[in-house]
Amino acid sequence: MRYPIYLITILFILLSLTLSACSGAAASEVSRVTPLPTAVDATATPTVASTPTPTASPTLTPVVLTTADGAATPLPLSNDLPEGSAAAIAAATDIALKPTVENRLTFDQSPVPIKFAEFYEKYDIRKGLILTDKLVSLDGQTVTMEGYMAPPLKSALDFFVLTRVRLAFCPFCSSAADWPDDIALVYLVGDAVPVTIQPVRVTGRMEVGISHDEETGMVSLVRIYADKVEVLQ
Amino acid sequence: MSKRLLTVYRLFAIGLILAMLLAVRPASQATAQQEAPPVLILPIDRATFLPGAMFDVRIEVHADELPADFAVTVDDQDATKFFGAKATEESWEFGPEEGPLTPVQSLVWRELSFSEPGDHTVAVTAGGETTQVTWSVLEPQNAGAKNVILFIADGMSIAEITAARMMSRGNTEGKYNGAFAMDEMEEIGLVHTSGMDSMITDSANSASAYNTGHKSAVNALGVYPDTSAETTDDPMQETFAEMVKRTRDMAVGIVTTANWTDATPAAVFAHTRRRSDQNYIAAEPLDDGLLPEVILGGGSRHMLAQDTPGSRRDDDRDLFTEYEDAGYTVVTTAADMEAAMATPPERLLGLFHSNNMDVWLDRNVYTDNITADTDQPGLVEMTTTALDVLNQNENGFYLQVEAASVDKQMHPLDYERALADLIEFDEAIAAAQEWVQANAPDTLIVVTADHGHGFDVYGGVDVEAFNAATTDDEKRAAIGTYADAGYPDYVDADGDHFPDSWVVKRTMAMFVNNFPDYTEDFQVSPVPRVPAIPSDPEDDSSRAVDNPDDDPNGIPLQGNLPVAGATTGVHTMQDVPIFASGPGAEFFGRVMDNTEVFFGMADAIGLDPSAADGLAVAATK
Repeated sequence: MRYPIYLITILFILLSLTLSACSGAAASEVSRVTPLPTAVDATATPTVASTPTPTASPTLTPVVLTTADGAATPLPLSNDLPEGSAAAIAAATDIALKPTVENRLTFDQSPVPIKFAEFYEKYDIRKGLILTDKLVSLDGQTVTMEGYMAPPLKSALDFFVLTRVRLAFCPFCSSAADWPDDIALVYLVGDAVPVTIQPVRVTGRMEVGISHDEETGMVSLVRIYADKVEVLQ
Repeated sequence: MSKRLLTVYRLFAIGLILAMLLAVRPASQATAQQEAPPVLILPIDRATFLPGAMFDVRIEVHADELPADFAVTVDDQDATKFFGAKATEESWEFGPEEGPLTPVQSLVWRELSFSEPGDHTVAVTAGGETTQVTWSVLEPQNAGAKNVILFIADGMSIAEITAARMMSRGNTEGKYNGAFAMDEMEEIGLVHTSGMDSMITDSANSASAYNTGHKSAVNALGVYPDTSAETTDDPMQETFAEMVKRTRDMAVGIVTTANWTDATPAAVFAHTRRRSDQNYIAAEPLDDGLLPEVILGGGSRHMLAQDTPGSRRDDDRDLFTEYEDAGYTVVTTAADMEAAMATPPERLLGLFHSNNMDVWLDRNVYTDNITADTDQPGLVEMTTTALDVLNQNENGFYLQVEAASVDKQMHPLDYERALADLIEFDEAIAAAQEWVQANAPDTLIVVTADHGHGFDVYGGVDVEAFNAATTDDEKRAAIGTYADAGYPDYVDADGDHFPDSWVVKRTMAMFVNNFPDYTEDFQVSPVPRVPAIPSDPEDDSSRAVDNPDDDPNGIPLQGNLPVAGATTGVHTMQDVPIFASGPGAEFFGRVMDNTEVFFGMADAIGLDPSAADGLAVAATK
């Protein structure tokens, strides 16, 4: 099987989990709000700390285990997800690559707003996507992001893929080549939310680092454990 | 593999087998038994070979077990004896997900070759019935060329050339104000493009025919398609590049504006049933040992280890490092490429985009659309760079250059982007002609397409009137036909052969003969075009509907493609033009099958893989 990456895997997961998942959960965490025009862009100018400070470190430090062959395998940030597909997917991940940050940023507000455009410095042909200091510094921090729900396969979700632009195609249905880089995997800490084609604002703890599950082959770079999902109208 | 894809492949395989069986049966020696199981012989009937060219043979019998009378003969001799090797027996089942599955008993011989020209009849007897195919091993010729350059503009039709020439050179009182480089080549012919499975080909199938001299099927590269689910066990055909490298130690180069692992460039070296196996294809030169001296194009995402953000690999191989270890100089920008050529490296790998490279119109005019962070070279620079590297090999070279986005932009009906890349393609041909004149006159240049699109121009459009119109009827009245078509007013004052501005007062009424429901305003799109979208965003096979963001000012056109999932235009059946210059060019001045292009290139350089030095008898001229 030569198809890499997560989308076909996610398709399988979705298909299998759809059968068992309870889709009637109340959407109590969803609030409908009118977005402030610059609500997300305006604030939190990051400042570069001369040296990393203890307070700037993620509040939840990844646990490092030693595997049989002696290699260190960082685990993802702990989560308290309710039982369901999000918990299953989050549990299936282990952080194989955790980016190191040279210029760790501190932020004067929480949650910290971040946009997809702030994820990557650039695409380096040989090194791939170069993550911004801001993104890497936000590992473990509470963030807020706006985007769209990728077209899912069921009507209520306890996890979804947040995308920069509204995707016309169901990304789970097309080939790996069509899956954009500007995505975040969102796990819902609260109840499931209904699907919407409106833009959404997600608030929660961010986890950064390539996460690769050996069993399913699922790979993701940015994950958010969302306490709150707001539909923007 | 996704189950959905698997089902598609299986259904396709069944259709293919049935079609082939229908085609083969009339020639078979029917001797009555109704229970005779279906038999598949690969290579197919009327396959042609060069002596010494390596190929695999697969026989399939679709039954639970081989019948008692099962026998394979070649020229009435037992096949094992004829081939001098025993076949490997394999079995599998294929069919739709829900069943029923068809059992298959198979024999496969690997890496065979014929030593002499002549015809051979392969006969398979099973269940009282005999199925047979005839293969022809052709006599090698030698027209005295040393090198071959094969230019392929993906999806280029004659009408596209005409429209691009109108834009690029202009026309005064019916006469063009200049000719394309390809217009002035010595020979012109026509190429049939159909594959063994369908009258409409894809780029894998057709580029495979050019590079192996054998037919194949949609999605297949360098193999005949068998019915097994495994995509890398299909019977292989040695490619032109593999032959010239193995027997003549010639240099090989691949230049493309697409992913270098995309169908057309991959056809130079790849062997897989499934062109989308791009991770597999990216490692194939390393794993198979055919290392092209030049690889230039896009597609770095298939080179990065899976843990690298932006990678599309599913393993930990860092192919950039592996290619470096194999002796490649790796460059990732146009500037680096130029710098590396101060002392031309022995092997050059230049990848300039994670995916397909940006098109000429976006690189040069609508630069906001550029999707790479690097400075990307154009097709002209990549072509001349490749030639300078390859020409270091005293045994000669084979270079395949592809203008990929003529096709990639023709699909979404983005005519200006497609035609700008066609003009760039012609510029690359002109540069190669100049290079050949100066450096290696004993070079055959072949220029062709792999298939067409149903493109043409039927009039001229008064843009101002079109845009001022408030009804569809008024807009259509702005389209002039015959004497009212006039001429477009593209201007090329700077003489670079590209219009100085793509926004003009009078455009051509360009269209293709197959399309989804969409709207057309006959004007350049400042952003890459998406004419139609699925009506249900959750289902990409839902009805394709007009994209309201594309040409909102255009006239609505009722689509004629299947409504389900067809959001862009498709390839069409027409013969495509082929142009040739240099030693051996006369071969191409006629109407031919696409498999013959391979033999034209082979004959030009006197390729005879059965000879110790890979060289046919002395040059015929």
